[in-house]
Amino acid sequence: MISLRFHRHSYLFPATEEPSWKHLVDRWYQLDAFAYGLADAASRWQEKTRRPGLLILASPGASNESDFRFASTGASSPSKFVHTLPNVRASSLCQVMNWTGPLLCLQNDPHTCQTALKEAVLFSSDHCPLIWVAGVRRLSEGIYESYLFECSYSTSEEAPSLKFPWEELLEDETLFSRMVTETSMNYVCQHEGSHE
Amino acid sequence: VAGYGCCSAAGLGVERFWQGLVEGRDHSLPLDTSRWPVKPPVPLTACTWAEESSSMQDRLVSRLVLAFQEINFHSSGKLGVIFSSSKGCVEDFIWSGVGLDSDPLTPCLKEFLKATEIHAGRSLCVSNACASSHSAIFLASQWLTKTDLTDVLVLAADGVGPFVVNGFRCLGALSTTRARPFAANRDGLKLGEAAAVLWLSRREIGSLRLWGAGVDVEGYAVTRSAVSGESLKRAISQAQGTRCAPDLIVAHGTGTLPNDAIEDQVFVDLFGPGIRVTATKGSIGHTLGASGLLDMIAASEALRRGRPFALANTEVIDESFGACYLTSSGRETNFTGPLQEALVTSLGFGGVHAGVRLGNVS
Repeated sequence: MISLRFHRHSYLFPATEEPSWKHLVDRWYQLDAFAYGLADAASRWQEKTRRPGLLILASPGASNESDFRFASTGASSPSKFVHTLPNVRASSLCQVMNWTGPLLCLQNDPHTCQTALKEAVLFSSDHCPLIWVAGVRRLSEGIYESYLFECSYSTSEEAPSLKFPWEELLEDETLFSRMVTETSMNYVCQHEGSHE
Repeated sequence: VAGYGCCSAAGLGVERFWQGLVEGRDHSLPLDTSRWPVKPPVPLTACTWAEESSSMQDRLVSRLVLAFQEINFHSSGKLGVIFSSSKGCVEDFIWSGVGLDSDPLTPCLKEFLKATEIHAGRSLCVSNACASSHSAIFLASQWLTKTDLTDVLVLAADGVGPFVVNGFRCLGALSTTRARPFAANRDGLKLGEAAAVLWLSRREIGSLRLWGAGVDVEGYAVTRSAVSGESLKRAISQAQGTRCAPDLIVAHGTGTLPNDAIEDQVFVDLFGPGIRVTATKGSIGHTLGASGLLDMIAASEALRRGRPFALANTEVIDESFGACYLTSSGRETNFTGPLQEALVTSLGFGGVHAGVRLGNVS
């Protein structure tokens, strides 16, 4: 059985005060909004979750915002340039959680999140019982949101077949209308046929 | 490994790429600034040929199509396609000031599928910095194991424009002369362009086999790898499985001071000082998200032909290094012994490390 749990965390950027995790992240003050948000969220999520065996990053729009920031400010800032790679935002998350392991930064707009969830289900197994699909999106000027899907595999037959906060999801269609549909959720709860 | 093809600064095709490697040829030239202005000093880059009218996306896709044509692809089974790249795809729109309503990689993948009329049962893009190709191979191996796909095409392409040049320049990572991986006088990397296609199949096609792939990210720093190299060791161990030491390592070998040092330490720690190491970047430059696939092709050709290639431009190895580096003029000119199995390594920004193990089927 594969179950999904969902977390999200809204935040302001630039931050108005120093984060509690600042001592854990190298040059935390140079993080862009996306790397900052994942670090900030990870500091909260790690108390509620187990540590994953695989991390999948799924951010629609990749690092377009950071790319424009680098280019529009003279293309001369090394601290801005390093954040123009969308996988780099995992680094701050890993530093806060003191986590190491396999990482995939996937893109497939406009279906990046659905695709990432599909891949998480594929990887789920007793060898890799917990996978994180994490990302960040911009809600409005200065307001962002980090999100996390925990995709967990178990052999238990007692638990419900799907543990996902449907109500929360459906209440906020603007947030997830492109990320998750009922069709895709039905899909991700089934393992695909294996030739093994 | 059913087939592979590539375009690089050496020209079109695997044969030209290989000839440049064995002859130790450095394909870099001053960057053509007629297309995009780049502030002086204009760096040496190993670019593919230019086409004035085409966008970067057209350029990358057209080279991918040429690389694809080289593999003579044929399959009646279900196909997956993974495109890996880093920043080349942003050059078209980033300076226009107009936003893009998509990630920059997916349009390239769609154009490739359209141009080749390939129907992919599963397709997506991987953007794990300079370890993108390795990460795509890691994902492809999972697809072939866990789904009903019979074949997977791993695509990789990257290009050089002002975004990439200015970025690496402001990091102080570009060589002021030529890239000299693992050399005592190395002073940075040289950028390059390439496109490559790797065809992996569950069926028994070809004389090479992919034994394993590993990817590992560490939480150390945004750009720097931890000096201990533990993350690279984990990625290599994942790729290696229980197999013994490879006969040859095609290293990431950027020519930067810290990265080469970490690779050397890891190779010696894992395999001992006799391990033979070479790299491609002195010849074709650092092709960023495509570099892993080019290195995989170089390793495959070395295995297929039973002969390795030396480091271009590198004459004197850093005396603090312990592995056995292949140079054209140094103590390791004469490579002897079996050449059946190879390891290809990669490092990327964000603390990503990766390894791929492949060998002759025999």
